[in-house]
Formats: sequence, C-alpha cells, structure tokens
Amino acid sequence: MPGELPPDFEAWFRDHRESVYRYVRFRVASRDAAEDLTSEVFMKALRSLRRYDPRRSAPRTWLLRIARNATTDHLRALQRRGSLHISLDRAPDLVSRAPSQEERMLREEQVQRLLNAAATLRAADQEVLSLRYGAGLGNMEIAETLKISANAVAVRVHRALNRLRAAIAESRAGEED
Amino acid sequence: MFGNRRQGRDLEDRDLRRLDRDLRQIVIEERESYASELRAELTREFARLRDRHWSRRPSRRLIQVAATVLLVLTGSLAFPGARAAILGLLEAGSVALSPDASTTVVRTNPPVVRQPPPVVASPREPERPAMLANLEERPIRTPVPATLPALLDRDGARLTVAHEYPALLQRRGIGGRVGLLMWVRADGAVEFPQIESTSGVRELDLAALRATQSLSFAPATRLGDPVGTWVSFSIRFQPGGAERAESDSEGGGFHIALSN
Repeated sequence: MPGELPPDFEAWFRDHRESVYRYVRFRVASRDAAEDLTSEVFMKALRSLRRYDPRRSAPRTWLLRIARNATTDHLRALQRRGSLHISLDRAPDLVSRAPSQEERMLREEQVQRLLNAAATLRAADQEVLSLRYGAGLGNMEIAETLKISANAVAVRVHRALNRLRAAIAESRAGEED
Repeated sequence: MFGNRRQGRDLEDRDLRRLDRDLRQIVIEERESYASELRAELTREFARLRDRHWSRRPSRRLIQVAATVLLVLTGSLAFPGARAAILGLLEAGSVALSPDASTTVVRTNPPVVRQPPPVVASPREPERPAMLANLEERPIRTPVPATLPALLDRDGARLTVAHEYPALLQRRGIGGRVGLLMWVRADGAVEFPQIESTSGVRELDLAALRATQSLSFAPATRLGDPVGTWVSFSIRFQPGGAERAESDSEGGGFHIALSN
C-alpha cells in the first residue's frame, strides 16, 4: 500500500510529474541528471508546500518555476566545473516510436542532432523550447511561467526555432567538412 | 525580387514547421520504476518532516531549566519563597505544561510564592498544519532483495546472432562489436533496443538490433515480483564464426548496466 502524501501534493505529483521530468530532461544531458533534478523539484515543493499561493500561480506553473531554478543551478554548477557540454549522443531514453528498427535509428539520429544543436543555443532559447516541447505547455502557460505576455512567448519561440535551425545547418556543414 | 523574397520566406516557414513537428515527436522514455521510487522517497521525506515538526516540542526537563534560569535572572532569589520554588522545580517533575497553555504552571509546596509569577517564555504547542493531519508514523524502508535479469536460452541467442550476421560481411571478413542497451520487461520480453556503442559498420549495428528481438530473459525481480529493468550488453561479430554475445561481468553472463 502506498504511503501517504498531502492530498493536494499527491494530485500534483500524479498530474504534473511527467511535465516536470520532460522539461528537465530537455535541458540536461542525461537521464540520471533529469531524475535527480526532478526529485529535487518535488522535494523542494513538498518542503515549501505551505508557501504555495494558489492566487499567484497554478500548481504546474509553480512546480515548473522550481524546476527552472533547480535546472539553472545545476547547469551553472556544471559550467563552473567546466563540464557543461556533455554529449547527448548516448541518450537512450530520447527515442522515437518509428515502426521499424531502421526508421527508429534514423529518427534517433535526428533527435540527437536536434538536441545537440539545441544545447548550443543560449539559455533563454533553451528555456522556452524546453517549456514548449519538453513540458508541453501552450503559449499562455509559458507566459505565466516566464511572467511575460503570450505574444512575447510566440516571438521568443519563433526566434528560438530560427536559431535552432541555423545551429542544425551549421552542425551539418561541420560534418560535411 | 519580391518573388524571391517571398519564396525564401515560404521555405523558412516550411523549415520551421518541420522543426516544430520534429521537436513535438521526440519521445522521452521515463524509467518504468522511477515514479514509484520518487513517490516512496517523497513519502519518507514527508514522514520525516512530520516527525521533525513534532519533535520540536521542548522536553519537560528543558522547561524546568528555562524556568530556573529565568527566576534567577529576574532576581527572584531575593525572596525566600522563590528560592523554595526553584528547589521545587529542580525536584522530580514539578513542572507541568498544559498543551494549550501559554504560561508555565509551577506546582510547589508551601511556602507559596507571593510575588507575581515570573513571565516565562514557554514554548507554544506548535501549530498543526492541515497537511499533517491524520498521519501515522511509517518506518523508513530498508533495501529490498532484488535479482537481475538472466538470459534464458544462451545457445539460441548465439544461433540468432549468427543468423543475423550478414553473409556478405562475413565473406569479406568484416566484424565488430556492438554495444546495446534495452529494456527487459517484467514479462521477460525485450523493448526499446538501442545502440550504445557502434561497431562502425551500420549493417552490423542493424543486425545486432534485429537479434535482440529474439532474445528472451527471466525478468529482474524485486521482493520476489518481476519488474522491468535496463540491460546493457554487447554482441561481437567475428568473421569465420564464433559470433557471440559477450559481457564484461564474470561467468560470461550479460553485463547489467542499470537495475531497479
């Protein structure tokens, strides 16, 4: 029989764990790091549950805000240690549901190329792309999380995608040279 | 000129749409047991928080000492009654703290202290938050017995690998070692086989991936129940036969990279 958690928290864990995990996984290089950070996010949320104010943000936004801070701290610590650029080439959990092995391999190469290129973007771009494609938030929710307008979110996403496209083209050109 | 610009913008939009679609199609596989492990961790933390919350109630002995020190500091020793009260305090358990009271009640025998009772900053009953209501203590779990997956038909696995080894590569003497990672489900079936380290020959990598589909395992167990787990191992294709699944663990078994 599972142990007890505060009822609200239990529901948040059930409903938003995946979003938090996916957001974090989009931003860090390994599954282990993503698991550690997701655990840290929920631990922090549990310890500061009484400080949560439902008038100020939705639970998912609050959790993702904790996740953003935890991830930023993690990446800064890696940067200080000079080990920020970890290759994503071995990321067995980022997969595709392609029907055949061959197609899946091709798709996985594509995923790796995408994420390697995304890792070269500036933090703000990674942030907005992780919220959109990792956590699966819409523009309104991203706006609430980042405390900016929905229009500004649309502009940021568009610019980040443009820069990502350029980064992919650059990496392809590098491979061909 | 305007036509070229428009064409360029159309191409850009198409590229961005494709990028958007590709990003949306990325699937992130969460480790199967991760959610339950994290939940158990949170439950333990919650129990610990609750215990710490209640353990903040000061002990009776501490209250005795605090009362004594305060009496001394307020100069009550100048009064014989106060001296008697202190002596009473220091004798066994003469201080009682009412759960809801905000002041200390001192039970003493005569002589009665006639001075106004000293103001003792007695600890209050900690406010019990709603989230802590109706919870019972739960013991911290200790590590549980677990076993790792085991390959069921090793000879069959060798035959499968040999069968998948492309004949053309064999004839040309091309071999290599493919590192693989896959999920062994609780029913022993293999899922999500992936290349962990390439042989450098794409056909060999694909052959190794195909071979994984025919492998069967006795699943890992936790507390006697079968559970899914990641397994990593390598397959070596050697020209002239002796294709084999190999391991760097003792006994020639499969190397288990991750387990629950």
